[in-house]
Formats: sequence, C-alpha cells, structure tokens
Amino acid sequence: MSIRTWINIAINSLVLMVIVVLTVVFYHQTAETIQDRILLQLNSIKQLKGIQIREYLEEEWLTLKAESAQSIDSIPDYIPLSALPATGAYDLSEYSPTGKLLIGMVKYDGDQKQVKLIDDQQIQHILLERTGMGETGETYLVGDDLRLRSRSRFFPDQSPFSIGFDKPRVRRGLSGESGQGIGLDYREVEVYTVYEPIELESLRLLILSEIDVSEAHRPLIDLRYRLISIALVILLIAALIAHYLTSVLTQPLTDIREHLQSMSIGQYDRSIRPVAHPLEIHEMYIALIELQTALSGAVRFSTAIGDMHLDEEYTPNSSFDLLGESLINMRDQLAEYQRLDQLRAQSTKRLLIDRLEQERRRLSRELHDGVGPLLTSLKLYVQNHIKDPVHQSEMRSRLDETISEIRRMSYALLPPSIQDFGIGATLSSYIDGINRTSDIEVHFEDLTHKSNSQIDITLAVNIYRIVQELINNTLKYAQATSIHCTLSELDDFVSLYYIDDGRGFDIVATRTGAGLTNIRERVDIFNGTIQIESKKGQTLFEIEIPLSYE
Amino acid sequence: MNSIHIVIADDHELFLSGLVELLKKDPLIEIDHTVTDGQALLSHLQEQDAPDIILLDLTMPHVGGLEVLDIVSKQYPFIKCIILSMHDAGHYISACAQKGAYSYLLKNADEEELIHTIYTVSEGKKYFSPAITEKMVNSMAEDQITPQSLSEKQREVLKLIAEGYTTKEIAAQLYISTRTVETHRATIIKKLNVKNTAELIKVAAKSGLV
Repeated sequence: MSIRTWINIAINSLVLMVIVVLTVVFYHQTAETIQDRILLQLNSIKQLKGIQIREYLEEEWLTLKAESAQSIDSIPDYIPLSALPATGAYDLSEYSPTGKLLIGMVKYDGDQKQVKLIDDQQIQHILLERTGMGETGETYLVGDDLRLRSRSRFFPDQSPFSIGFDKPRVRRGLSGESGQGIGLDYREVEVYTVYEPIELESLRLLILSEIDVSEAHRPLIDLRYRLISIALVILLIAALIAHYLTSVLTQPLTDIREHLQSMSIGQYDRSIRPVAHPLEIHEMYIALIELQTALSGAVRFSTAIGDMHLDEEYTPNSSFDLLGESLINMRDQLAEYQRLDQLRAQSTKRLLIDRLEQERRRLSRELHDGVGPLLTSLKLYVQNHIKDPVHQSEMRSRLDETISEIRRMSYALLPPSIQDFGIGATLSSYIDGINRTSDIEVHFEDLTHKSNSQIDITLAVNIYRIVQELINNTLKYAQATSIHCTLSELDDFVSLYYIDDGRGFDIVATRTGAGLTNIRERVDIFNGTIQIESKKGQTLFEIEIPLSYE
Repeated sequence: MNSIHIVIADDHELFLSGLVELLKKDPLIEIDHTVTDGQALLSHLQEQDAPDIILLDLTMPHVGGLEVLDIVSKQYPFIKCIILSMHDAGHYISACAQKGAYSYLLKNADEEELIHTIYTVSEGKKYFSPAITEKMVNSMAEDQITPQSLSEKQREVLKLIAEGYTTKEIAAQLYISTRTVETHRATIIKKLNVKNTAELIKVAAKSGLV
C-alpha cells in the first residue's frame, strides 16, 4: 500500500473516531442535562401551581368553616345529597353538567349544613398560566376516577371528565406518591412528566406537569444537525489536510525516486530542484544533490582518465570514497605506465640513434684509419716504385683525390675532431667548410666551455646532427643569404640559437617534414625543448637541451 | 753535411714500410728506428740516442700522438717532431703547433714536400705549408676568442641591459636565446653580487664595465 493511502486512512479514521466519540459523549451529556433541566422546570411549575391550588382550596375551606351554616337549598339539584355525606371537601365533577371540575365543600353543624361549590374557574386560571411551558407543556389535574379534571390544552372543547387517563403513574400518584419521568400522556404521546397528589380532607387530586418529549428534545435535534454538519466540515478539512500532507510527503519521494532511478541507469546530469520544506525532505534533497555531485564528479574524472587526461585532479569525497580512491589509483597507475612507456620509447629511440652514430663513427674510423693509410701506403709505393715520372705523377694526383674523398666521407659520417676537440671546434670547422663551398654566409659563435665542458660525446654528436640538419634545410629550401648560429653552454643547459633570413615556412604544414621531424626527435630524446618562429625573411630556432638529460 | 737521424712512429705497417723505403732513397736521411705505438717510442727514447727528428702519427694505440708530442717537447726539447697525420682539421694542426710540433704534414704529402720539410726542420726551422697554415690560423683565430668568450658575451649582455634593451631584443641582437640572456643576466648579477637589474646597472657603470 502506498504512503498516500496509509496516511489518508490513518488521518481520516483518527479524525472520524475522535469526532464520533466527542459527538456521542457531548450529545448524551447534553441530552441528560436537557432532561434534568426539563424535569427541574416541570417540577417547579408543578410545585408552584400545586401550592397555589392548595392554598386556594384551603382558603376556601377555612372560609367555609368560619361561616355560619346556610340553607341546603343552595345546592343545585343535579348534585345528590349523598355525594356530600359529612363535613369535608368532595370531588363532584362527575355530577357537573359541563363535565368540568366541580368541588363541593360541606360543613355539617347539627342539621344545618353549610355547602360551598367551587367551580373550575379559579383553578383553571392557575393551571392555564403557561409561562415556561412552551408549545406542548401543560399542567392538569386528574381525579381518582382516572379522568381529567382540568381542561386539556389539546382538546379544549371536550369536557375534562370525558377524557380518561389510566396509566400506572396516575394510579401511583393517586395512591399518594409523587414522582417524575417519561411516560405516555392521555393522548398516548410521550412526555416528560412530574406529578404530585393534592389532598384536602377527603378530596384527592393529582396534579401533573408535562411537556412533549418531542418539544423538549427539539434543541437536541438542532444540536444533532449542527454536530453532524460540524463533523462533516471537520472530516472534509481533515481529508484536505491529509491530501496536502501526503502530497507534500509523497511528491518529493516520487521525485527523488525518479532521480535515483535515472542515476542508476547512468544519467547524472538531470538538474535537481530541492523543495525548501519540510526540513527533512529538504535535507534529503541536499543529500541527493551531494550524491549526484559526487557521482558526476567521479564520472567526469573517469572520463578524463579514459581520454588519457592524466593531469586531471580529483578529491575523494571522504575516507570511505573507495570509487574515488580506485580512480585516483587508476590514474596514477596509468600516468606511471605512460611515463614508463614514454621513457621506454625515448630510450629505444636514443638507443637506435646511438647505434646509428656508433655505426657511423665506426665507418668513419674505418675509412679514416683503415682505408686512408692503405691509400697513403699505396701512394708511397707509387713514389718508390713507379719510375716513369708522367705515370707516377698521374697516379699520385689520382691517389690524392681518392684520399681527399675518403677524408671528406669520413668527416661527413662523423668528424673525428668531435671526440678530440669538442662540439664547438667541430662545428666551427664544419661551418668553415660550408662557407667555403656555398654562397651562403654562416656566422657561428661558439660559446661552449673550452675546458671542463659538460657536453659529452653523445650530446655533442646529437647537437652536431641537429645543426647539420638545420643548415641542410636552410640550404635546400630557404633561399637564405645568411645564417647566424650560436651555441651557448650554460651551467645546466645548452642553448642553440639558429636564425636564417630565408623565405620561411609554415610550421604547422611542415611539421611532419623529415628534416624537422629528425630535429624534433633528437631534441626530444634528450629531454630538450624546441621553439620555432618562422616568417618571411626570418626563421628562428631556439633549442635548449639540459646537460643532465638522463 | 751530417746525416739526419730519424725515428718514425706509425701504427700502420704498410705505410711505415712504404715511408721507410721512400726515405731511404735520400742519402742524408738515416732511419734509426721505427715503432708502431707511442709507448714503444717513449721507451726507445729512454734507451737509445736521441734522433734529430721524429715523424709522428697522431692516431696510435696506447699513447696517442698528441700526448707523445707533449712529452717529447717537454723532456727532449732538442728533438724536433714532424706530425704526419690523416687529419686535416685546423684544431689538430693548431693543437700540434701549440704543443711544439715543427711541422704538420698530411699523410698523402708528396715525396718532395716530405723531403723538403725534413730538411727545413733539421735546420731548426719550423715549416707549415700555406694550406696547413691557413687552416691553423682559422682555428687559432677562433680559439683566441674562446678563453674569455663567455665573460665577453656577458659583458655584451650587460651593455645592452644598461642601454635599456629588453631580453628579447638582446637575444635578437646577440643571436642567443632569451633564456640564455636571462641566464647570463642571472650569472652577472651573481658575479657582481648585486640584488636586481637596477643595482646591476649602477655597479656596472661605476666599475666601468659598460
């Protein structure tokens, strides 16, 4: 089940439960209170009216007692005398022609008897005073024959006597008990009722104050409707709040889930917009962004490593960042591998060039020290043994040419002077040769140390080849008229400055030219740097090679 | 005229025998001994009478010709050395001349030139052919600059610094790289024991360096 459903069910059922309990308790409390109030009010009304009636009757009785007896004629003939057997008060309603209350009071004084008939007017007046009785409240009297004695509010045209009222509480009341409660009245309608007997001499009446339950309960019904509508409103609000809460909670959760899913399929560049509230969700977003940053940082780093950008830096996110550590390790391993590879390539190249130079030196020496002496010996032989002067002279000049050629070849391969006199002197005589054999004007300045030079033979040969190549290029392509070349030996590096006034060349396009490549390679294997600037009328090479090139 | 006593040092047997044969034809030249390396030559000189002239090859095993020349010039100054070499580079020639050689001949020198040289040298005169002389002079002209060249270059750099040129301009004028100029500047500053360029110029002007 989703969080949304859970929260909705939880909040709504909780609210519903609280409302039901509160409503029921409140309703019942209110109902009880209303009942108590009603009964209290009915009681006080009954009490008041009971007292008034009792006082009235007692006053009448006392008046009668004080008066002297009168003639019997004053008794209407519809009342039998037997109804008034002795001094006292009697309920004579059954004889009343109107069926209304009729009380007869009689005082016997010997044969004289004093009779007083009390009609319902005064009593009815008391009873009909309906203050605080609402629409259905009434106070009425019942006689011991279980018939009404006062006029019914509901049946004003019927004679009270004709309305019977036989209920247990009436019997109980007439037997002298008073009480209260809910019961059916003479109309068979449910009413709140309080009752109390009124006794005077032998007269016994029951006074009842009653009000319809339906009227008494009308505020309760109003209350019920109000409570239900309030409950509904509260439920509605609760539902809205629950909906809001769930969306506040589940919306970010869904969002975060989508972000996590896209990260799990390797998409790290989706922008995350964090919600500001609530705090925990906000913090979750911040954590998510941190995760994304960390992951995409690692991804960027590994991409850089993949592209062999090994100088890329990466800071591990923490001491637990195993991925970062591994990537850094990988980068370092690769860099080391690359370094070793370059070193190997460089040493291979250097070895190749070393071999080449060794071979050249060997050849040069063979020519110079092997073939040379043979030829000079031959020349001596010719001088010793060829007697014909013409023939001898011809042979000598041929031999001289051959020896010169051998010497030239030997020098071209590798000047022996490089070993004996160093690179400066060797270049000087090489450039002398160039000046002698070509139209170009080469100015060479030798600024190497004459004693204790730190340039060893390998480096010297290398520099010699570079200068050879540079001059060759100038002679071949540049159409230059002059070259300035300076070789400076400094404390920790050798600097070769070479400039010609030729037509220049396109550095980018000529990058792969064999001559330039050779120069670059030779500079490279000695860890040197080369800088080339070329324009029409000026081509400049600045080459620097460290003296501790190993 | 007394005969000229000669010792020949050359590691090449064939050449050696050819040379001996050639020189024998001359009545005045007497070949005392031949050796094929520098060590043997030095031992011979210690044990036997000194010759008038040594014909000396430069490229020999054990002890090379230049070294032998050095020793002979110092220990036997009365012996005159004639260098017979395959090398025709100026450095070899000037180095030999500086070390006291009386002459420098290429191995393919003609018979006439060889004999002429031996005669000239035997009279106590030095002899260098025009071609050899030219090469030697060229080489020595270069060499003359060399001993002080660095400080001279530094002086030039200093002069241009004082005149207010930038490093790049100095580099272009002197045909050296900018880094070389900077290194020179640093060296000068260190040598003159100053703190910065401004102070450098002051000190340089005061001491008449520029």
